[in-house]
Amino acid sequence: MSLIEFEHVNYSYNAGTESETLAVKDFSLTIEEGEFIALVGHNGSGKSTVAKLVNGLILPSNGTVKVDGMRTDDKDKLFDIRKTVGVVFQNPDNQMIATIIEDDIAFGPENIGLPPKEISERVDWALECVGMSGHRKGTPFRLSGGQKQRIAIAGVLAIKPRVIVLDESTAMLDPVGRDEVMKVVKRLRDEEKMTVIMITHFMEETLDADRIVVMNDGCIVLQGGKEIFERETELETIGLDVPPIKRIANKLRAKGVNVADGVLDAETLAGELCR
Amino acid sequence: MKDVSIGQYYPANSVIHRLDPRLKLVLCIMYIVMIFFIQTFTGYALTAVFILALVFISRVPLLKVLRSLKAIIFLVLFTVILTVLFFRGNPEDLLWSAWIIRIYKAALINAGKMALRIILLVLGPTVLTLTTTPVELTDALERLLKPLSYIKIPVHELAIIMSIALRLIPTLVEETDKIISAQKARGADFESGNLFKRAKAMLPVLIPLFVSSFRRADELAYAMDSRCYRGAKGRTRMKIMRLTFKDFAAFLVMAAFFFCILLLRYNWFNIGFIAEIIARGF
Ligand SMILES: Nc1ncnc2c1ncn2[C@@H]1O[C@H](COP(=O)(O)OP(=O)(O)O)[C@@H](O)[C@H]1O
Ligand SMILES: [Mg+2]
Repeated sequence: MSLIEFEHVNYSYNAGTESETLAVKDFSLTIEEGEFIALVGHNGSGKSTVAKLVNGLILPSNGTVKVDGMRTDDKDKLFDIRKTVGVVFQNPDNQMIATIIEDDIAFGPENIGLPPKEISERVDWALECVGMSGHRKGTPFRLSGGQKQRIAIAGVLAIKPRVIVLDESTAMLDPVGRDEVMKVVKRLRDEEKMTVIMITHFMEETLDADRIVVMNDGCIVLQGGKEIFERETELETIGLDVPPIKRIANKLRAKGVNVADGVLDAETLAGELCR
Repeated sequence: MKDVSIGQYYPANSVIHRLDPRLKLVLCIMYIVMIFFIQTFTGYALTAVFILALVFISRVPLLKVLRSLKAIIFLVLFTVILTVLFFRGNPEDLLWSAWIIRIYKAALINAGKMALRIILLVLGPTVLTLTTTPVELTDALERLLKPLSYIKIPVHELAIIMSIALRLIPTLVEETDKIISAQKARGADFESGNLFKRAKAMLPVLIPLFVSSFRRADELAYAMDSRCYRGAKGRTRMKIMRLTFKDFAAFLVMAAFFFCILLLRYNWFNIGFIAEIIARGF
């Protein structure tokens, strides 16, 4: 049994009305425990819809979504599903529930019904995970975007989910903030052995993923490791750029320079060229 | 304006700050009720001394406390003027008269008492909100009113609505600023024209604000669901509120003071004479 299973899922917004939009079409995907999945696609390709389907915020129009064997349309399992899968959304301002950071992070564990002492320990742990230990008693309002988003991640972490879904959680951040968040995500994968689903439209952010899933118009169009970056033209037709270094490497190769496949960072590329 | 979320809370490390917020709330209500039992200047003077002592103990600068009175100056003046103008007493009490204005001695006394009553009334909640954060207050309210949830009053829901409102205020204020700037950049004029014109100019600010608030509310609801929220069911709290010795002491002080006020008012055990001695002392 896989940790997360999507089986032929369709989802329509405003079903049965004139403005019905089929946002996700025949979507099938299985994710194993411990995997780091990058889900990419341009705006409107249905990524957020998938994120909301994972923990039963919305239910599939057709097909099933299972988390650890539990179907999301089983009302009695919803609470357990949400304890298993945590979702961090795009705008940190819209995820804060309390005015004080520790109260905000405690919200999840409080809902689970943990004893006060354990909640407090989890708040400490979650803040440490995202590198914000010093801010426990502060308010989120004066923080930078990256810091706010790390607090939002801590709020989800405090529930100790096995899967964390980040829905374009870096999209509103500046490069520094994006870097901060990416570091935290990598740490969660490496040290906490969490399953990560990173939704993004920045191709650079997919570089650390075990598997890249490319969506277009509600469907999965490509799926695989970094070898999918070789299919630059295919990606470009659906509005995605390959990471910049890869693009340079591909251009050089087109011009007849001998560059090996799978070059993704500047240093390797420089090494290749100096060879 | 951005700090509405922390209200007028003044962080300091005092006993009053550290009292259980539930108790502070109860004491504040006791204080307000007590004010209505006071009828003499002696009583008001004693209460003034009492509340000033509290301010002193709370280590909040007196100026901060007095500043909160600014908001009610108008109300006090209004009350005083109306009382003085419309009071009709004994002719021999008349101090001064001209045209249709008659000023009686009793009117001045009444107006003075009224002003003191309003001011002292406001000072109680002021000390409370200066020493307690809005979050603590909502929490305290939720816990105090919890018994009401057994008669199907949605106490938890009301409390969470209140705390989310508090949390959203700074975000919405920030957003309003942004929209105003954006509309100004497009040539909107918010400063000139009459009241009606200016109100109309706010429309292009309010509509986007409204739309975005709904979007925010939607996303916030998803975020809350994602974090296992299911109402009060099975929910515990991180912060334990436990009454300690200092809370009992504080309660005793307040109760004792309330008792003194009642003694003065009703002359129990015939000790009203003390009040007269004090009054003569003034
Ligand atoms: N609340 C909604 N109501 C109606 N249509 C929606 C809603 N949310 C998204 N859609 C539509 O569903 C499609 C997929 O959207 P979304 O999942 O948000 O894509 P992405 O996250 O990849 O940008 C888009 O065509 C979008 O217009
Ligand atoms: Mg999206």
